Amino acid sequence: MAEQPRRSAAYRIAFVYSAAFALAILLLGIAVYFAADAEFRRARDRAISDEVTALLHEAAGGSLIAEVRERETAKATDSFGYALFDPQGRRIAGSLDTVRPEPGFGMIVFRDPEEGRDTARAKTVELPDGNRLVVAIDSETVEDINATILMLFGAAFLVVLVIGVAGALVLGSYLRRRLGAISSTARGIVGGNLDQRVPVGTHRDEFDEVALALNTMLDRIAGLMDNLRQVSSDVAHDLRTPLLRLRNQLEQVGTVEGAAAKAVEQGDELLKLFSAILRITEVEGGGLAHGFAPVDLSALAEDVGESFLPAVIDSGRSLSTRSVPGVSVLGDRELLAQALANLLDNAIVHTPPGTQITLTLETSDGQARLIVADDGPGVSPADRTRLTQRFFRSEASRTTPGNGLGLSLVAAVAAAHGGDIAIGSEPGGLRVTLTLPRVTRNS
Amino acid sequence: MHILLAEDDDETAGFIERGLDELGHATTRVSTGDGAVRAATTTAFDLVILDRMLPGLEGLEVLRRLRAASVRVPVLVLTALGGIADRVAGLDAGADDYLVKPFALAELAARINALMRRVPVDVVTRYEVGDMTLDILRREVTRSGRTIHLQPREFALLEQLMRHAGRIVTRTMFLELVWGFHFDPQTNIVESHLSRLRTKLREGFADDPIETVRGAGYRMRPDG
Repeated sequence: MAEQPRRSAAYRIAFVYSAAFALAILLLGIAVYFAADAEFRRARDRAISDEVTALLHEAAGGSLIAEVRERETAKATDSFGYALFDPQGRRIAGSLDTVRPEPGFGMIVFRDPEEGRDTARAKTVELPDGNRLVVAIDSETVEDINATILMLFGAAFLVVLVIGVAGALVLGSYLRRRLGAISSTARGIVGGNLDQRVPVGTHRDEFDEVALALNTMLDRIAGLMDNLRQVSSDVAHDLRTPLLRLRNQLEQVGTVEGAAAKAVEQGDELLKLFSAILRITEVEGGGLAHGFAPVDLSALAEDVGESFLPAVIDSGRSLSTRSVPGVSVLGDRELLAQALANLLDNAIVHTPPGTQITLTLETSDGQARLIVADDGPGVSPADRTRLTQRFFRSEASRTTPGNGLGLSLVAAVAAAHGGDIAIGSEPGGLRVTLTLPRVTRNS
Repeated sequence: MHILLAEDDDETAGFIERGLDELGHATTRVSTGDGAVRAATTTAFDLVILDRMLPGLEGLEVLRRLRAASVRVPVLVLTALGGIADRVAGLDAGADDYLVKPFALAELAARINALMRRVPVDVVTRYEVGDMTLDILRREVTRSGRTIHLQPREFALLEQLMRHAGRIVTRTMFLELVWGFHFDPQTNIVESHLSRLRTKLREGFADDPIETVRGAGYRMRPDG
């Protein structure tokens, strides 16, 4: 478990993400700064050029000196500074206190009456009479704006960094908390507490989906563990009894007539019991699905019904089969046949002669239902819920043949096919419904 | 007949050997997979009984090697593995029949007899046993020239009995051959279908062409 933020993937991801975001802000700031600076300088130079043009235009035909003076006293314009130098370099007009610069654009140093030495951007024009006109503008404006831009982006960078780090910490701890719940559950299970489940939130987000998937997996594992425990306890309790009976029978061989034949019979029963347990274990163990193929359930129901009919009649009961055509499921024909056979076996063995047994195949919204019902005495509600338990035999059926595994196999077969079984009593007697998902034509 | 028995468990092997001896077969026994391959490729046996779990070479591998070496002898595979996938694997590997342990000796004897006189099924379209005939293509059964109407299932049962005329067909063989079931339902569905078949065959005649062999199965009397 990553206790330090350094070793936590959650923190690392959040930090890297916010650092990348801050870096993007920084790059944007630098780009804006340089682009704005260049644009301001161009605009400033254009303003100076315009002022020079306007000044010369207005002074044309008059005195340039007077025009400069007029402009300086009006101070209406954007704090331009003016200076007019004669060919000898003496300032003959304007208050811009500087030395005569060379023609063209350039930075000049001047003396501000209030602030002392200062720099300004200036355009110097050589006039036809040999004088030079200098129009300058203080560079403070551009620097102020640049400083503002720098400050804004610097602040944004810091804010992003602070929010990013805070967000990273919150996000990191959130991720650690969600993932921590999963890993602590896993550790609990490794530690032996198989009942633990990953807490599922209410958002139905990715974590909840993972938690649900894990819980489903854990349920399946727990089911398999139960299965294993069940088999062990079956072996311990329910298989000892017939073995003891066989042993006692063998002791009588030689003294009681027919004991040997009876012992062989009991041995056969015991072997049948083992086959039944192994079959159930095989079906419950899963892994059969890859061998599944479409099975024509309609034909199977007809087939099994027809196969059982003479035996049912011989036993003094009646059997009617009602099937709808064209119903298919994905499965194992043999297992489905065995499940159906077990249901019919039960209906014959556990009812009195004269009982009417029905085998019905019906369908509804994507499901096929095989129903074996009888109008016999039925099973008490309390016993009904226990019918699918292994080796369960109700008090009323203690003396009838069977091993109490028939319905367990039916339930296992249903589960292996993605279906289930329901045991009811309507309209009287017993009614076992085996529900299976249908194969639709386009799947 | 000369049968090769590949079985590593002494007790099981002894049990089978005694049974085969009673039936009048000579048995050669090997207890490893390699031994089985060696014996079957050097000696012409009438039948091989092959256990799936053999030390050295596994039973199915033995079978594959024999088939690869064009040894066409009928092979009956014995196994303690009764799973659905196991049976398919056995038949895929080229086994002619598959018997899950433990089994009754009568069952083994019936399977051996069925395998030894196996005739390619698709060649035969008509069986004649005693005064009975069965035409597979026309789905027609007659006894002493008189047509007998049978249900499809009864017809299939009779077909198996006539195919194995004079030999025993066990209940599990009927379940496998007629129903395709590799399980034994608690309800004896074979017996009730057979009793209906026998009633129809007996009608108007003094004797029953089918006899029950106690504890083993049913047999068509070869003389009718």
